[in-house]
Amino acid sequence: MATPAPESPTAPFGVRLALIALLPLLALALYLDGQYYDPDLVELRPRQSVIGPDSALFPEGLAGLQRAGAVRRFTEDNLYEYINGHAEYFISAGFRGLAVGEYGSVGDGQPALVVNLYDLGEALNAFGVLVDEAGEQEAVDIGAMGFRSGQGLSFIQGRFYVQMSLFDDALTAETFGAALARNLAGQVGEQDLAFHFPDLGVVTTTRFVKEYYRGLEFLNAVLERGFERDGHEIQAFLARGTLQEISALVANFEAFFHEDEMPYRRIDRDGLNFYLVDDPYEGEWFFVPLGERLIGVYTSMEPALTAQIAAFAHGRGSASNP
Amino acid sequence: MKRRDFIKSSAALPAIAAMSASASAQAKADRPSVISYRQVGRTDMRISDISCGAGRLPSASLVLRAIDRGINYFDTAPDYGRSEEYIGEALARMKQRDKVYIASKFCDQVGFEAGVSHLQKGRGKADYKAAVEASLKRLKTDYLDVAFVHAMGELKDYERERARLLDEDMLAAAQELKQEGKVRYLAVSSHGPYNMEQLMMAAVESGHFDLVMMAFNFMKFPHVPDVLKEAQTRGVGVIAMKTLAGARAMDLDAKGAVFEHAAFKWVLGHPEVSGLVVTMKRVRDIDLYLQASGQAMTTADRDILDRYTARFGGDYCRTGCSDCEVACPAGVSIASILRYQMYFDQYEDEKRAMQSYARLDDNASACLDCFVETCVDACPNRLPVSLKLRAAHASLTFADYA
Repeated sequence: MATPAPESPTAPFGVRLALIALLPLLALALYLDGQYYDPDLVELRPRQSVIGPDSALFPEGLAGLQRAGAVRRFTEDNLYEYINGHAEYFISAGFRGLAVGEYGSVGDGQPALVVNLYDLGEALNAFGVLVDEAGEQEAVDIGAMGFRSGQGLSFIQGRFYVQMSLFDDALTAETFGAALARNLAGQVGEQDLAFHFPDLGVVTTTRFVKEYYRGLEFLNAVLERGFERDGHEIQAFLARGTLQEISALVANFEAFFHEDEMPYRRIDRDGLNFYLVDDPYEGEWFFVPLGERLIGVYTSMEPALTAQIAAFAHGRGSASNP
Repeated sequence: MKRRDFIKSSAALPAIAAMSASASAQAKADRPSVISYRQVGRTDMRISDISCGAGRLPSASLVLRAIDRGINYFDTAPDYGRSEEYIGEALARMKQRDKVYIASKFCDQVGFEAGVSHLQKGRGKADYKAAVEASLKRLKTDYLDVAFVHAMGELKDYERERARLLDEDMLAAAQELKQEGKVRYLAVSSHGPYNMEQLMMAAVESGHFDLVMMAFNFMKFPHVPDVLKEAQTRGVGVIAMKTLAGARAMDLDAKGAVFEHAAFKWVLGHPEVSGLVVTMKRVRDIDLYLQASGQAMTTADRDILDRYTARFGGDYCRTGCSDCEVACPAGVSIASILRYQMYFDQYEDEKRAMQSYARLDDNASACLDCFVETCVDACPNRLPVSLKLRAAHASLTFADYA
């Protein structure tokens, strides 16, 4: 005998009517809620450049030349108007704003010097752009670091990357570069301490690696530094990020070690959490998260070395300048 | 002994020796490794079918990792950044030089510049020998397995390039380097964009070269099969590059197939091909690429290549064809420009692409006001050449700061 189909329960007519009547009210509530702008949810305004006023960045007089015309300013939205084709590069490098100033001799209609001043948000970004742009050019001692570029030069000072183009053979780029760097140093300070490595020895090399440091796809925008220490060359790297980003970086390392079956262990020493890695291809190395930085060192975890890093982390040790 | 085990057994590799007990004990046998080695023409080399293009090498450790997975052929050059130094560091740590083959190029250690950085006819025998000596120093070795006359066809002028190919000073330098034990084999490479197939055929027929390396992929270069046959007849090895045909990001319905594997299998399905080199810049690349070693094409592989061709075939410039350039009244270096745009877009090598473009005399600025567009009509694949050139100009140009 066939089993009768269960009777589906039916809500009373009054309840069904009330539910239908609620629909317009629900729609109205959703509409009204959508009219409120929650700044924490989405940032609709373009990022503001933190570049200061014209007079602060571009003095009226610069080593005998006078500022000519108004300073032009560019944001992420219109940077392409000035450097079409290269805007994306700067934006991906942390671009916050560009100010362009021109200098010339009084009465001369043509600029003798054009200065492009890029605000890249932080010193590490500025350093990355400088290294990327420098190629094999001759280094100059201007700002924190600089190089000659044709008849001009480029240098970094704090979070700024500065390009100077000269259009008068009689002028010397270094003269104007030094004057501008001094002016900028007065505005943003000589150095960004967060940019520094602990002093692990005599600095032998410094370079910026944009992506895939040592082949690891999660390790990008890294500053690498070589040190001579006790007659040996060691290499170290510095990665920067927010606390969450550094935490994610540590998690990525651990996931990689697990996947690659690479032995590692966490060692608490000097108040810090070191990770010692038994890497069959790199040799023994270690890294340590330090707040918004992560430092890795490709050598054994000697107590003297970790003590130096700890002293640096706790503000008692010295830093190696760029 | 398995290839992946030989490094671990090397007491001369301190880091690996120190870790070998724990690492090898835990190592999985199923990690992707090379499972097929192929003879290179009449040489004594048997190379991994999938080998390492070291153009963007990130570290010595990646070289050691690749060797551990069975890769035994590394293609480097003086102008590949720190590539030679990294390989040298790896060789010094491994101390088993005879287990790997190192190929480098006759060129200066400067940024790429067509017609300059790769030694040209007129540089003389001493310069060719000096280039190799400098490579040996960076590589920390006393011999190269292969020395390449590199990037043949980078200039439009066929006769000039052919003269470089058969330069008596270069050939004399190579002969002396062989006699001195500093170079084992002489080779030539070309990724076009000009006259690639003709130049490779000339190289094979000349009898001077032990192997050739050229662009070859499923998008097909129509005359490459002729070169392959002639090379096989004469005992000249063939190594393929640019095998991924532009390596576009894609969301093809793969049905289980992996595009890279399919592209490799297609190339290696030609028995005349001794192997391929592909850029390895990430640990992940090794894991991904080596899964195709020794594998045969499947129906799913053919399907994904067909889908790729359908999606991107109308947008892919087959370097080596220069029909559009012949038709261009302004003499724009179309093939070079599109190649640089590929470096910019697909290889994410923006800086090199922009620098190379800046050095071109006949760039795409002439295309901005061109309404003739004979290039489009001339293209056998009906690519929107003029549009691509304008887009390339926009991507590859620095604005004049003045």
